[in-house]
Amino acid sequence: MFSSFINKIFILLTIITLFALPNVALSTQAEQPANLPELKIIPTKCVSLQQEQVCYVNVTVVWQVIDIGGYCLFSSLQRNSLQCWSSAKQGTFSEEVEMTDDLVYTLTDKKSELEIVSNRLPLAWVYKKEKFSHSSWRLF
Amino acid sequence: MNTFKLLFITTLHVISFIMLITPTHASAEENIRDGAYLDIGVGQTYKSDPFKYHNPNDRDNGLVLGVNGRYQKKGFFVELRLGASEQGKSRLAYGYNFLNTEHWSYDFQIATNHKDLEHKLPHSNVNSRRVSNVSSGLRILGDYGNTHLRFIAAKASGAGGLYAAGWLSQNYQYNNWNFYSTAGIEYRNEDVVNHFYAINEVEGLPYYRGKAGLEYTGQVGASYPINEDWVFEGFVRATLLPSGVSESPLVDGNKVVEAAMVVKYVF
Repeated sequence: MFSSFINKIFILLTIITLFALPNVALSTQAEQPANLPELKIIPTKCVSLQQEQVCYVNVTVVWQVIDIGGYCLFSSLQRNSLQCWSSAKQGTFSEEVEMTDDLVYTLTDKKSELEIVSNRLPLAWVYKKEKFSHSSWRLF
Repeated sequence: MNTFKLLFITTLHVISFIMLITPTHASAEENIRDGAYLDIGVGQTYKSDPFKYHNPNDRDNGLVLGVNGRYQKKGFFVELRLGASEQGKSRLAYGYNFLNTEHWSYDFQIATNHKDLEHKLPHSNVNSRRVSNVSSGLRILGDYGNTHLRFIAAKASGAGGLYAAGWLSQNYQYNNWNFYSTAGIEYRNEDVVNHFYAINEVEGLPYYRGKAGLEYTGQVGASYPINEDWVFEGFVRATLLPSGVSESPLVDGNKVVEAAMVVKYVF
């Protein structure tokens, strides 16, 4: 009788814990202040089959800052800005890219041209470039 | 002894001699092909069955686990190809990489050059197993960027079995997809053909002895990097069998078509 009661309490506590834990996690996340300014790149890397190959990727850059103002987005692939925004504190930009090296996106203040935030899109590959690579033997 | 046989054996002797004198140089410098490679994959394969009495347990179709690995140290190498990644005729090969130049690499290798075959013969109901023996030979790899070549000259199954092959492959890239097309010619002499495809009268089929011949293969395939570790691969291959093989009572038709789709993890 007593052990049955203990079992029920144990099950009840387990259920409460299981339901409570995600809520604790969510409330912790909600209370965290946004880490601004931020610049996210999607996807997080460009992967080609072999080292030194050109890597093709559709990139989306999402940025967010604290203050409303004028901002410009640059990439390490070109000198001119990719896009500028006025009276904005967030923005999104998409482009198709052919990469041969890591790519850096930088958000700058439109007037002062000072860097606000930047992020890197790394170039990755599956097979290291090697002469007589065994991976190329899939051909035969 | 015919001219081809003489030329072949002379070539093997020359290679053996080169091997004897090169280790001193090879050990002094790092071998560019030393290292390890391993991928394990799972895939769906299809292969048309050219054999009339193929053992049904010898499965070539369906879901297959594939392993493709290579390890080389100080020139000595071991290679393993199983399942879906088995696109060559050799499952286990080992040998010595004795010379590398800018575009060419030379291996002395011990390997099989034909798959094992198993036939359940009619009337006699005998399980006729034709084992592919490991044999020594020379393998030459050519690498010109997107163009790959491979040549093999080796002893093979059968009393005086000889095998020779040449392959040419070209790579192409479209976005992150990598495509390739390959053409190959393989030669097997009478002894090899008869080791695998001959019939003795006692086996319940008409007596058969085939002649030497050339086998032609064409293959197209594609690879796509899912991420840094996972690769998707697919290929279609067609092989035209020589008459010495296709006319055997064990064989039905002169073509073999194979296809596979594989997802593999590259270590």
